[in-house]
Amino acid sequence: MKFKQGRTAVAAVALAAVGVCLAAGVLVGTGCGFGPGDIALLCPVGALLSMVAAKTLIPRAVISLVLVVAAVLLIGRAFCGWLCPVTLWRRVKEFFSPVAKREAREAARSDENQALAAGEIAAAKAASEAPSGAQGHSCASCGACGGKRNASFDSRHAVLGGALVTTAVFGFPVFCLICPVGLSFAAIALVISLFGAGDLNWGLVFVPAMLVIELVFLRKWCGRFCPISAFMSLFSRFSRTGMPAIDNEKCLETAKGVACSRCATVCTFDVNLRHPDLGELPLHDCARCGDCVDACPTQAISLRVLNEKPQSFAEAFRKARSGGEAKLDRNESGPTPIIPDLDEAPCTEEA
Amino acid sequence: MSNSMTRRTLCIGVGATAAMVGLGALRYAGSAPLVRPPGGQDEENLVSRCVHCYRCIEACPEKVIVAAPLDAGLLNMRTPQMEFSDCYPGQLDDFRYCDFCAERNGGVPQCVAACPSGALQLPVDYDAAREVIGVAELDQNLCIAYRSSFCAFCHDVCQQVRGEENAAIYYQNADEAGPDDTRLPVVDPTKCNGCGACEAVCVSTQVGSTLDAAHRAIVVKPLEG
Repeated sequence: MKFKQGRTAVAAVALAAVGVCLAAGVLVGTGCGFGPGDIALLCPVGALLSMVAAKTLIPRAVISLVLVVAAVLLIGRAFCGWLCPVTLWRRVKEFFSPVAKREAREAARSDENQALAAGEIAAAKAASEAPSGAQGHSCASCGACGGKRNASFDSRHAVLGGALVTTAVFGFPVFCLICPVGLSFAAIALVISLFGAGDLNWGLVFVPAMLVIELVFLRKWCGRFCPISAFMSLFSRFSRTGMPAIDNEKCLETAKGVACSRCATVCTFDVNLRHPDLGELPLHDCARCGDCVDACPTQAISLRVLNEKPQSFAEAFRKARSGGEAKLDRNESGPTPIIPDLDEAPCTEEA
Repeated sequence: MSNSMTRRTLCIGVGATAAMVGLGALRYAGSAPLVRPPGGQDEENLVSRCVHCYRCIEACPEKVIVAAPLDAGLLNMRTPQMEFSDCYPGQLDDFRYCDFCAERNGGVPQCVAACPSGALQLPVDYDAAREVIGVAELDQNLCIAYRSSFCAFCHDVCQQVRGEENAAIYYQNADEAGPDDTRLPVVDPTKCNGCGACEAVCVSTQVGSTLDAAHRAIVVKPLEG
Protein backbone atom coordinates (compact mmCIF):
# COMPACT_ATOMS: atom_id res chain seq x y z
CA MET A 1 0.00 0.00 0.00
CA LYS A 2 1.23 3.45 -0.81
CA PHE A 3 1.72 6.06 1.85
CA LYS A 4 -1.02 8.24 0.44
CA GLN A 5 -3.65 5.53 0.71
CA GLY A 6 -2.30 4.51 4.09
CA ARG A 7 -2.54 7.91 5.65
CA THR A 8 -5.92 8.59 4.09
CA ALA A 9 -7.12 5.37 5.71
CA VAL A 10 -5.59 6.34 9.06
CA ALA A 11 -7.22 9.78 9.00
CA ALA A 12 -10.56 8.31 7.92
CA VAL A 13 -10.51 5.66 10.62
CA ALA A 14 -9.58 8.27 13.24
CA LEU A 15 -12.41 10.57 12.19
CA ALA A 16 -14.87 7.68 12.06
CA ALA A 17 -13.77 6.51 15.51
CA VAL A 18 -14.35 9.97 16.94
CA GLY A 19 -17.76 9.99 15.26
CA VAL A 20 -18.70 6.59 16.68
CA CYS A 21 -17.66 7.68 20.17
CA LEU A 22 -19.66 10.88 19.77
CA ALA A 23 -22.73 8.92 18.71
CA ALA A 24 -22.31 6.36 21.47
CA GLY A 25 -21.43 8.92 24.13
CA VAL A 26 -18.06 7.38 24.90
CA LEU A 27 -15.78 10.02 26.35
CA VAL A 28 -12.82 10.47 24.02
CA GLY A 29 -13.50 14.00 22.87
CA THR A 30 -12.57 15.35 19.48
CA GLY A 31 -9.36 16.71 18.02
CA CYS A 32 -10.02 19.93 19.93
CA GLY A 33 -9.68 18.08 23.23
CA PHE A 34 -8.77 14.46 22.90
CA GLY A 35 -8.38 11.68 25.43
CA PRO A 36 -10.34 9.18 27.49
CA GLY A 37 -11.91 10.12 30.80
CA ASP A 38 -10.21 12.82 32.81
CA ILE A 39 -7.11 12.75 30.60
CA ALA A 40 -7.38 15.28 27.84
CA LEU A 41 -4.94 16.64 25.33
CA LEU A 42 -6.09 20.06 24.14
CA CYS A 43 -5.41 21.32 20.64
CA PRO A 44 -2.30 23.51 21.03
CA VAL A 45 -3.91 26.53 19.40
CA GLY A 46 -7.11 26.05 21.41
CA ALA A 47 -5.03 25.75 24.58
CA LEU A 48 -3.07 28.89 23.74
CA LEU A 49 -6.16 30.89 22.78
CA SER A 50 -8.24 29.88 25.79
CA MET A 51 -5.40 30.89 28.10
CA VAL A 52 -5.02 34.22 26.33
CA ALA A 53 -8.79 34.78 26.47
CA ALA A 54 -9.09 33.86 30.15
CA LYS A 55 -5.80 35.63 30.93
CA THR A 56 -4.78 32.78 33.23
CA LEU A 57 -2.68 29.67 33.03
CA ILE A 58 -4.90 26.62 32.68
CA PRO A 59 -3.08 23.53 34.03
CA ARG A 60 -4.34 21.05 31.45
CA ALA A 61 -3.71 23.54 28.65
CA VAL A 62 -0.10 24.00 29.76
CA ILE A 63 0.43 20.23 29.98
CA SER A 64 -1.13 19.82 26.54
CA LEU A 65 1.19 22.43 25.06
CA VAL A 66 4.24 20.73 26.55
CA LEU A 67 3.15 17.33 25.21
CA VAL A 68 2.36 18.70 21.76
CA VAL A 69 5.73 20.45 21.55
CA ALA A 70 7.47 17.22 22.59
CA ALA A 71 5.58 15.29 19.92
CA VAL A 72 6.40 17.90 17.29
CA LEU A 73 10.09 17.70 18.17
CA LEU A 74 9.88 13.97 17.51
CA ILE A 75 7.64 13.71 14.48
CA GLY A 76 7.20 17.27 13.23
CA ARG A 77 3.93 17.98 11.52
CA ALA A 78 3.01 14.29 11.17
CA PHE A 79 -0.43 15.17 12.57
CA CYS A 80 -1.09 17.13 9.37
CA GLY A 81 -0.22 14.20 7.15
CA TRP A 82 -1.80 11.37 9.06
CA LEU A 83 -4.62 12.52 11.34
CA CYS A 84 -5.94 15.94 10.44
CA PRO A 85 -9.45 15.70 8.96
CA VAL A 86 -8.51 18.42 6.50
CA THR A 87 -6.21 15.87 4.85
CA LEU A 88 -9.35 13.84 4.15
CA TRP A 89 -11.28 16.78 2.74
CA ARG A 90 -8.30 17.48 0.49
CA ARG A 91 -8.47 13.95 -0.85
CA VAL A 92 -12.18 14.39 -1.48
CA LYS A 93 -11.50 17.64 -3.34
CA GLU A 94 -8.79 15.91 -5.35
CA PHE A 95 -11.21 13.11 -6.20
CA PHE A 96 -13.74 15.54 -7.62
CA SER A 97 -11.35 17.75 -9.55
CA PRO A 98 -11.25 16.88 -13.27
CA VAL A 99 -8.39 14.56 -14.19
CA ALA A 100 -7.25 16.75 -17.09
CA LYS A 101 -7.11 19.83 -14.88
CA ARG A 102 -5.26 17.95 -12.19
CA GLU A 103 -2.76 16.56 -14.64
CA ALA A 104 -2.19 19.96 -16.23
CA ARG A 105 -1.57 21.46 -12.80
CA GLU A 106 0.84 18.72 -11.88
CA ALA A 107 2.65 19.04 -15.21
CA ALA A 108 3.05 22.76 -14.66
CA ARG A 109 4.35 22.10 -11.21
CA SER A 110 6.73 19.48 -12.50
CA ASP A 111 8.03 21.89 -15.18
CA GLU A 112 8.57 24.58 -12.62
CA ASN A 113 10.39 22.26 -10.24
CA GLN A 114 12.52 20.78 -13.00
CA ALA A 115 13.50 24.24 -14.22
CA LEU A 116 14.50 25.18 -10.69
CA ALA A 117 16.42 21.93 -10.32
CA ALA A 118 18.19 22.42 -13.64
CA GLY A 119 19.35 25.82 -12.43
CA GLU A 120 20.72 24.40 -9.22
CA ILE A 121 22.38 21.49 -10.99
CA ALA A 122 24.06 23.85 -13.45
CA ALA A 123 25.23 26.03 -10.59
CA ALA A 124 26.51 23.05 -8.64
CA LYS A 125 28.31 21.68 -11.70
CA ALA A 126 29.92 25.04 -12.35
CA ALA A 127 31.01 25.15 -8.73
CA SER A 128 32.49 21.65 -8.83
CA GLU A 129 34.33 22.33 -12.05
CA ALA A 130 35.83 25.54 -10.73
CA PRO A 131 39.47 25.31 -9.69
CA SER A 132 39.65 23.83 -6.22
CA GLY A 133 41.66 26.74 -4.90
CA ALA A 134 39.07 29.34 -5.74
CA GLN A 135 35.96 28.95 -3.58
CA GLY A 136 34.30 29.04 -6.96
CA HIS A 137 30.71 29.82 -6.53
CA SER A 138 28.88 32.49 -4.65
CA CYS A 139 25.15 32.85 -4.88
CA ALA A 140 25.22 36.58 -5.46
CA SER A 141 27.47 36.34 -8.51
CA CYS A 142 25.67 33.44 -10.11
CA GLY A 143 21.93 33.87 -9.86
CA ALA A 144 21.27 30.59 -11.64
CA CYS A 145 19.02 29.51 -8.82
CA GLY A 146 16.42 32.10 -7.92
CA GLY A 147 17.53 32.35 -4.32
CA LYS A 148 15.67 31.16 -1.26
CA ARG A 149 11.97 30.82 -1.95
CA ASN A 150 10.69 30.17 1.55
CA ALA A 151 11.09 31.80 4.93
CA SER A 152 11.18 30.75 8.57
CA PHE A 153 7.98 32.68 9.17
CA ASP A 154 5.21 33.06 6.63
CA SER A 155 1.56 33.91 6.22
CA ARG A 156 0.45 31.10 8.55
CA HIS A 157 2.36 32.70 11.37
CA ALA A 158 0.65 35.99 10.58
CA VAL A 159 -2.72 34.22 10.91
CA LEU A 160 -1.62 32.71 14.23
CA GLY A 161 -0.59 36.17 15.41
CA GLY A 162 -3.92 37.61 14.28
CA ALA A 163 -5.75 34.85 16.14
CA LEU A 164 -3.84 35.59 19.34
CA VAL A 165 -4.40 39.35 19.10
CA THR A 166 -8.13 39.12 18.34
CA THR A 167 -8.56 36.56 21.11
CA ALA A 168 -6.86 38.87 23.59
CA VAL A 169 -9.01 41.81 22.48
CA PHE A 170 -12.37 40.07 22.40
CA GLY A 171 -11.79 37.65 25.24
CA PHE A 172 -12.73 34.37 23.59
CA PRO A 173 -10.98 31.93 21.22
CA VAL A 174 -12.08 33.61 18.00
CA PHE A 175 -10.26 31.29 15.62
CA CYS A 176 -11.96 28.22 17.13
CA LEU A 177 -15.23 29.45 15.60
CA ILE A 178 -13.91 28.90 12.08
CA CYS A 179 -11.17 26.30 12.55
CA PRO A 180 -11.70 23.70 9.80
CA VAL A 181 -10.49 20.93 12.13
CA GLY A 182 -13.10 21.84 14.75
CA LEU A 183 -15.72 22.37 12.05
CA SER A 184 -14.99 18.89 10.69
CA PHE A 185 -15.91 17.39 14.03
CA ALA A 186 -18.90 19.72 14.22
CA ALA A 187 -20.00 18.43 10.81
CA ILE A 188 -19.77 14.83 12.04
CA ALA A 189 -21.78 15.72 15.15
CA LEU A 190 -24.43 17.46 13.04
CA VAL A 191 -24.75 14.48 10.73
CA ILE A 192 -25.07 12.18 13.74
CA SER A 193 -27.87 14.28 15.23
CA LEU A 194 -29.52 14.60 11.81
CA PHE A 195 -29.78 10.84 11.43
CA GLY A 196 -30.05 10.04 15.12
CA ALA A 197 -32.62 12.58 16.22
CA GLY A 198 -33.82 14.07 12.93
CA ASP A 199 -32.36 17.36 14.06
CA LEU A 200 -32.39 19.61 11.00
CA ASN A 201 -30.86 23.03 11.51
CA TRP A 202 -28.93 25.80 9.80
CA GLY A 203 -25.66 24.44 11.11
CA LEU A 204 -25.94 21.74 8.45
CA VAL A 205 -25.58 24.49 5.84
CA PHE A 206 -23.22 26.78 7.71
CA VAL A 207 -20.58 24.24 8.74
CA PRO A 208 -20.04 22.65 5.32
CA ALA A 209 -20.17 26.12 3.73
CA MET A 210 -17.37 27.32 5.99
CA LEU A 211 -15.34 24.21 5.17
CA VAL A 212 -15.84 24.80 1.47
CA ILE A 213 -14.84 28.46 1.74
CA GLU A 214 -11.71 27.60 3.65
CA LEU A 215 -10.62 24.52 1.78
CA VAL A 216 -11.82 25.22 -1.76
CA PHE A 217 -11.82 28.99 -2.20
CA LEU A 218 -8.80 29.68 -0.03
CA ARG A 219 -6.22 27.65 -1.87
CA LYS A 220 -3.60 25.88 0.19
CA TRP A 221 -5.18 26.30 3.59
CA CYS A 222 -2.61 24.05 5.29
CA GLY A 223 0.50 25.82 4.04
CA ARG A 224 -0.72 29.40 3.88
CA PHE A 225 -3.42 29.90 6.50
CA CYS A 226 -3.56 27.21 9.15
CA PRO A 227 -2.38 28.56 12.53
CA ILE A 228 -2.11 25.01 13.91
CA SER A 229 0.42 24.21 11.21
CA ALA A 230 2.11 27.55 12.03
CA PHE A 231 2.38 26.57 15.69
CA MET A 232 3.84 23.17 14.86
CA SER A 233 6.32 24.62 12.40
CA LEU A 234 7.71 26.82 15.18
CA PHE A 235 9.03 23.67 16.83
CA SER A 236 9.33 21.19 13.97
CA ARG A 237 12.41 23.13 12.79
CA PHE A 238 14.31 21.51 15.65
CA SER A 239 13.20 18.00 14.78
CA ARG A 240 15.78 15.61 13.36
CA THR A 241 13.72 12.45 13.49
CA GLY A 242 11.34 10.58 11.26
CA MET A 243 12.00 12.64 8.15
CA PRO A 244 12.61 11.40 4.64
CA ALA A 245 16.21 11.39 3.50
CA ILE A 246 17.72 11.02 0.05
CA ASP A 247 20.41 8.55 -0.81
CA ASN A 248 22.55 10.89 -2.91
CA GLU A 249 24.17 8.02 -4.73
CA LYS A 250 20.83 6.85 -6.07
CA CYS A 251 19.19 10.22 -6.61
CA LEU A 252 19.05 11.14 -10.30
CA GLU A 253 19.90 14.74 -9.58
CA THR A 254 23.04 14.20 -7.55
CA ALA A 255 24.22 10.97 -9.18
CA LYS A 256 23.46 11.79 -12.78
CA GLY A 257 22.73 15.48 -12.86
CA VAL A 258 19.23 14.93 -14.26
CA ALA A 259 16.66 17.52 -13.20
CA CYS A 260 13.97 15.23 -11.81
CA SER A 261 12.52 16.84 -8.67
CA ARG A 262 9.70 14.32 -8.64
CA CYS A 263 9.80 14.43 -4.82
CA ALA A 264 9.03 18.16 -4.83
CA THR A 265 6.30 17.80 -7.42
CA VAL A 266 4.34 15.19 -5.49
CA CYS A 267 4.78 16.74 -2.04
CA THR A 268 1.33 17.39 -0.56
CA PHE A 269 2.79 19.98 1.77
CA ASP A 270 4.78 22.02 -0.77
CA VAL A 271 8.16 21.05 0.60
CA ASN A 272 11.07 20.49 -1.76
CA LEU A 273 13.14 17.71 -0.24
CA ARG A 274 15.88 17.81 -2.91
CA HIS A 275 16.22 21.59 -2.96
CA PRO A 276 15.05 22.68 0.52
CA ASP A 277 15.40 26.38 -0.21
CA LEU A 278 13.24 26.18 -3.31
CA GLY A 279 10.05 24.70 -1.85
CA GLU A 280 7.12 26.95 -1.03
CA LEU A 281 7.56 25.77 2.55
CA PRO A 282 10.86 25.01 4.26
CA LEU A 283 12.00 21.44 4.88
CA HIS A 284 10.87 21.48 8.51
CA ASP A 285 7.27 21.63 7.37
CA CYS A 286 7.60 18.02 6.24
CA ALA A 287 4.52 16.14 7.49
CA ARG A 288 6.19 12.71 7.29
CA CYS A 289 3.53 11.76 4.77
CA GLY A 290 5.79 9.57 2.64
CA ASP A 291 4.47 10.68 -0.75
CA CYS A 292 8.03 11.44 -1.90
CA VAL A 293 9.17 7.96 -0.83
CA ASP A 294 6.54 6.43 -3.11
CA ALA A 295 7.20 8.80 -5.99
CA CYS A 296 11.00 8.62 -6.24
CA PRO A 297 11.84 6.94 -9.57
CA THR A 298 15.05 5.42 -8.17
CA GLN A 299 13.79 4.56 -4.67
CA ALA A 300 16.42 6.89 -3.29
CA ILE A 301 14.16 8.29 -0.56
CA SER A 302 13.33 6.58 2.70
CA LEU A 303 11.94 7.70 6.04
CA ARG A 304 14.74 7.56 8.62
CA VAL A 305 14.45 7.21 12.36
CA LEU A 306 17.33 9.62 12.83
CA ASN A 307 18.15 12.32 10.34
CA GLU A 308 21.33 14.21 9.72
CA LYS A 309 21.39 17.95 9.56
CA PRO A 310 19.66 18.98 6.32
CA GLN A 311 22.05 19.60 3.44
CA SER A 312 21.75 22.17 0.74
CA PHE A 313 21.62 20.75 -2.77
CA ALA A 314 25.09 22.11 -3.57
CA GLU A 315 26.61 20.22 -0.63
CA ALA A 316 24.80 17.02 -1.49
CA PHE A 317 25.85 17.32 -5.11
CA ARG A 318 29.48 17.87 -4.20
CA LYS A 319 29.53 14.95 -1.78
CA ALA A 320 27.91 12.56 -4.22
CA ARG A 321 30.43 13.59 -6.86
CA SER A 322 33.51 13.34 -4.72
CA GLY A 323 32.72 10.61 -2.17
CA GLY A 324 30.75 8.39 -4.45
CA GLU A 325 32.99 8.77 -7.48
CA ALA A 326 34.06 5.14 -7.58
CA LYS A 327 30.54 3.93 -7.25
CA LEU A 328 29.37 6.31 -9.92
CA ASP A 329 31.96 5.04 -12.34
CA ARG A 330 30.99 1.50 -11.69
CA ASN A 331 27.36 2.34 -12.25
CA GLU A 332 28.08 4.07 -15.47
CA SER A 333 30.18 1.27 -16.81
CA GLY A 334 27.87 -1.46 -15.54
CA PRO A 335 25.83 -3.59 -17.91
CA THR A 336 22.57 -1.69 -17.53
CA PRO A 337 22.73 1.79 -16.16
CA ILE A 338 19.74 2.57 -14.06
CA ILE A 339 17.68 4.78 -16.29
CA PRO A 340 14.27 4.99 -14.70
CA ASP A 341 11.36 5.19 -17.02
CA LEU A 342 10.03 8.59 -16.19
CA ASP A 343 7.19 8.15 -18.64
CA GLU A 344 5.74 5.53 -16.40
CA ALA A 345 5.42 7.92 -13.54
CA PRO A 346 1.89 9.30 -13.65
CA CYS A 347 1.25 12.76 -14.98
CA THR A 348 4.70 13.38 -16.39
CA GLU A 349 4.25 15.54 -19.42
CA GLU A 350 5.95 14.91 -22.77
CA ALA A 351 8.58 17.58 -22.77
CA MET B 1 12.45 35.94 1.14
CA SER B 2 11.00 36.91 -2.21
CA ASN B 3 8.71 39.87 -2.68
CA SER B 4 5.64 37.93 -3.65
CA MET B 5 5.98 36.01 -0.43
CA THR B 6 6.12 39.01 1.86
CA ARG B 7 3.17 40.45 0.00
CA ARG B 8 1.23 37.24 0.46
CA THR B 9 2.15 37.13 4.14
CA LEU B 10 0.87 40.65 4.56
CA CYS B 11 -2.36 40.07 2.60
CA ILE B 12 -3.23 36.82 4.33
CA GLY B 13 -2.24 38.10 7.76
CA VAL B 14 -4.28 41.28 7.41
CA GLY B 15 -7.22 39.54 5.72
CA ALA B 16 -7.45 36.77 8.31
CA THR B 17 -7.11 39.20 11.19
CA ALA B 18 -9.84 41.41 9.73
CA ALA B 19 -12.12 38.38 9.42
CA MET B 20 -11.42 37.43 13.01
CA VAL B 21 -12.06 41.01 14.18
CA GLY B 22 -15.44 40.76 12.49
CA LEU B 23 -16.19 37.48 14.24
CA GLY B 24 -14.90 38.79 17.56
CA ALA B 25 -17.14 41.84 17.34
CA LEU B 26 -20.11 39.44 17.50
CA ARG B 27 -19.40 39.32 21.19
CA TYR B 28 -20.82 42.83 21.48
CA ALA B 29 -23.85 42.01 19.37
CA GLY B 30 -25.15 40.04 22.33
CA SER B 31 -26.64 36.58 22.21
CA ALA B 32 -29.55 34.84 23.86
CA PRO B 33 -28.54 33.28 27.21
CA LEU B 34 -28.53 29.48 27.33
CA VAL B 35 -29.01 26.94 30.09
CA ARG B 36 -25.46 25.78 30.74
CA PRO B 37 -24.21 22.58 32.39
CA PRO B 38 -23.16 22.72 36.06
CA GLY B 39 -20.10 24.91 36.52
CA GLY B 40 -20.95 26.90 33.39
CA GLN B 41 -23.03 29.61 35.01
CA ASP B 42 -20.25 32.15 34.77
CA GLU B 43 -20.98 32.94 31.13
CA GLU B 44 -17.87 35.11 30.78
CA ASN B 45 -15.65 32.26 31.91
CA LEU B 46 -17.40 29.69 29.75
CA VAL B 47 -17.25 31.74 26.56
CA SER B 48 -13.61 32.67 27.05
CA ARG B 49 -12.42 29.12 27.63
CA CYS B 50 -14.69 26.79 25.67
CA VAL B 51 -12.93 25.33 22.63
CA HIS B 52 -15.96 23.27 21.49
CA CYS B 53 -14.34 19.93 22.14
CA TYR B 54 -17.66 18.21 22.97
CA ARG B 55 -16.09 16.33 25.89
CA CYS B 56 -18.80 17.43 28.37
CA ILE B 57 -21.43 16.23 25.93
CA GLU B 58 -19.87 12.79 25.76
CA ALA B 59 -19.17 12.68 29.49
CA CYS B 60 -22.73 13.40 30.63
CA PRO B 61 -24.13 10.10 31.96
CA GLU B 62 -27.68 11.39 31.55
CA LYS B 63 -27.11 12.64 27.99
CA VAL B 64 -28.74 15.97 28.67
CA ILE B 65 -25.93 18.17 27.31
CA VAL B 66 -25.97 19.07 23.63
CA ALA B 67 -23.97 21.40 21.40
CA ALA B 68 -25.87 24.64 20.91
CA PRO B 69 -27.15 24.98 17.34
CA LEU B 70 -26.49 27.91 15.03
CA ASP B 71 -29.89 29.37 16.05
CA ALA B 72 -28.32 30.20 19.40
CA GLY B 73 -25.93 32.57 17.65
CA LEU B 74 -22.64 32.08 15.86
CA LEU B 75 -20.77 32.74 19.07
CA ASN B 76 -22.76 30.17 21.05
CA MET B 77 -22.80 27.56 18.34
CA ARG B 78 -21.10 24.32 19.52
CA THR B 79 -20.92 25.50 23.14
CA PRO B 80 -22.63 23.18 25.68
CA GLN B 81 -26.28 23.65 26.47
CA MET B 82 -28.77 21.60 28.50
CA GLU B 83 -31.50 19.84 26.55
CA PHE B 84 -34.31 18.10 28.45
CA SER B 85 -36.96 17.93 25.74
CA ASP B 86 -35.35 14.93 24.02
CA CYS B 87 -37.00 12.43 26.37
CA TYR B 88 -40.12 10.65 25.33
CA PRO B 89 -42.86 12.42 27.31
CA GLY B 90 -44.62 10.91 30.31
CA GLN B 91 -42.09 8.23 31.22
CA LEU B 92 -41.85 8.55 34.98
CA ASP B 93 -39.59 5.53 35.24
CA ASP B 94 -37.35 6.44 32.29
CA PHE B 95 -36.43 10.07 31.95
CA ARG B 96 -33.16 11.98 31.87
CA TYR B 97 -32.35 15.07 33.87
CA CYS B 98 -29.35 16.72 35.51
CA ASP B 99 -28.75 15.22 38.93
CA PHE B 100 -25.41 17.04 39.20
CA CYS B 101 -23.85 13.58 39.37
CA ALA B 102 -24.58 13.72 43.10
CA GLU B 103 -24.35 9.93 43.41
CA ARG B 104 -21.56 9.49 40.86
CA ASN B 105 -17.95 10.46 40.48
CA GLY B 106 -17.64 11.57 44.12
CA GLY B 107 -20.24 14.26 43.59
CA VAL B 108 -18.22 16.11 40.92
CA PRO B 109 -20.36 16.49 37.80
CA GLN B 110 -18.72 14.43 35.05
CA CYS B 111 -19.01 17.25 32.53
CA VAL B 112 -16.91 19.44 34.83
CA ALA B 113 -14.35 16.65 35.31
CA ALA B 114 -14.09 16.13 31.54
CA CYS B 115 -13.67 19.82 30.66
CA PRO B 116 -9.99 20.32 29.76
CA SER B 117 -9.98 24.11 29.65
CA GLY B 118 -11.91 24.99 32.80
CA ALA B 119 -14.87 26.42 30.89
CA LEU B 120 -17.00 24.35 33.26
CA GLN B 121 -15.66 25.05 36.70
CA LEU B 122 -17.32 24.52 40.05
CA PRO B 123 -17.46 27.48 42.43
CA VAL B 124 -15.27 27.05 45.53
CA ASP B 125 -18.30 26.69 47.79
CA TYR B 126 -19.93 24.15 45.48
CA ASP B 127 -22.69 22.05 46.97
CA ALA B 128 -24.71 19.81 44.68
CA ALA B 129 -27.77 20.37 46.85
CA ARG B 130 -27.61 24.13 46.35
CA GLU B 131 -26.35 24.36 42.76
CA VAL B 132 -28.81 26.02 40.38
CA ILE B 133 -28.39 25.85 36.58
CA GLY B 134 -31.69 27.35 35.47
CA VAL B 135 -35.29 27.76 36.42
CA ALA B 136 -38.39 25.99 35.09
CA GLU B 137 -41.04 28.15 33.49
CA LEU B 138 -44.56 26.92 32.97
CA ASP B 139 -46.50 28.20 29.99
CA GLN B 140 -50.17 28.13 30.99
CA ASN B 141 -51.25 28.37 27.37
CA LEU B 142 -49.66 25.03 26.62
CA CYS B 143 -50.06 23.20 29.92
CA ILE B 144 -52.67 20.45 29.79
CA ALA B 145 -53.69 21.06 33.40
CA TYR B 146 -54.55 24.67 32.60
CA ARG B 147 -56.02 23.99 29.19
CA SER B 148 -58.16 20.98 29.75
CA SER B 149 -57.75 18.19 32.21
CA PHE B 150 -55.85 17.22 35.30
CA CYS B 151 -52.17 16.45 34.71
CA ALA B 152 -49.63 15.58 37.37
CA PHE B 153 -46.45 14.63 35.55
CA CYS B 154 -44.24 17.61 36.34
CA HIS B 155 -45.50 17.85 39.90
CA ASP B 156 -44.94 14.19 40.61
CA VAL B 157 -41.52 13.98 39.04
CA CYS B 158 -40.37 17.04 40.94
CA GLN B 159 -41.47 15.43 44.19
CA GLN B 160 -39.70 12.26 43.10
CA VAL B 161 -36.31 13.74 42.28
CA ARG B 162 -36.14 16.62 44.73
CA GLY B 163 -38.06 15.12 47.66
CA GLU B 164 -41.14 16.62 49.26
CA GLU B 165 -39.03 19.09 51.20
CA ASN B 166 -37.27 20.69 48.25
CA ALA B 167 -39.81 20.18 45.48
CA ALA B 168 -40.29 23.35 43.45
CA ILE B 169 -43.60 22.45 41.83
CA TYR B 170 -46.71 22.59 43.99
CA TYR B 171 -50.44 22.61 43.35
CA GLN B 172 -52.49 25.72 43.50
CA ASN B 173 -55.83 25.25 45.28
CA ALA B 174 -54.99 21.75 46.41
CA ASP B 175 -57.71 21.42 48.93
CA GLU B 176 -59.48 18.15 48.22
CA ALA B 177 -62.45 19.09 50.34
CA GLY B 178 -62.81 22.56 48.86
CA PRO B 179 -65.10 23.30 45.93
CA ASP B 180 -62.34 24.69 43.71
CA ASP B 181 -59.78 21.90 43.91
CA THR B 182 -58.28 22.59 40.50
CA ARG B 183 -54.79 21.26 41.23
CA LEU B 184 -52.95 23.51 38.85
CA PRO B 185 -49.16 23.04 38.94
CA VAL B 186 -47.11 26.10 39.86
CA VAL B 187 -43.31 26.51 39.91
CA ASP B 188 -41.66 28.11 42.92
CA PRO B 189 -38.65 29.76 41.24
CA THR B 190 -36.84 30.14 44.55
CA LYS B 191 -36.76 26.37 44.99
CA CYS B 192 -36.17 25.25 41.41
CA ASN B 193 -32.60 24.21 40.53
CA GLY B 194 -33.21 23.74 36.82
CA CYS B 195 -32.64 19.97 36.87
CA GLY B 196 -35.03 19.51 33.98
CA ALA B 197 -36.95 16.46 35.20
CA CYS B 198 -40.28 18.29 34.76
CA GLU B 199 -39.44 19.24 31.18
CA ALA B 200 -38.31 15.69 30.45
CA VAL B 201 -41.66 14.16 31.40
CA CYS B 202 -44.01 16.96 30.31
CA VAL B 203 -46.69 15.47 28.06
CA SER B 204 -48.03 18.69 26.57
CA THR B 205 -46.61 17.93 23.16
CA GLN B 206 -47.50 14.25 23.18
CA VAL B 207 -49.27 13.13 20.06
CA GLY B 208 -52.94 13.93 20.23
CA SER B 209 -52.67 16.45 23.01
CA THR B 210 -50.95 19.35 21.33
CA LEU B 211 -51.51 22.70 19.86
CA ASP B 212 -48.62 21.71 17.64
CA ALA B 213 -46.42 23.72 19.97
CA ALA B 214 -42.72 24.15 19.27
CA HIS B 215 -41.78 23.40 22.85
CA ARG B 216 -43.11 21.74 25.96
CA ALA B 217 -45.36 23.52 28.44
CA ILE B 218 -42.70 23.49 31.13
CA VAL B 219 -39.21 24.38 30.04
CA VAL B 220 -36.01 25.17 31.95
CA LYS B 221 -34.88 28.72 31.20
CA PRO B 222 -31.51 30.28 31.88
CA LEU B 223 -31.00 32.19 35.10
CA GLU B 224 -31.36 35.91 34.82
CA GLY B 225 -28.27 38.08 34.81
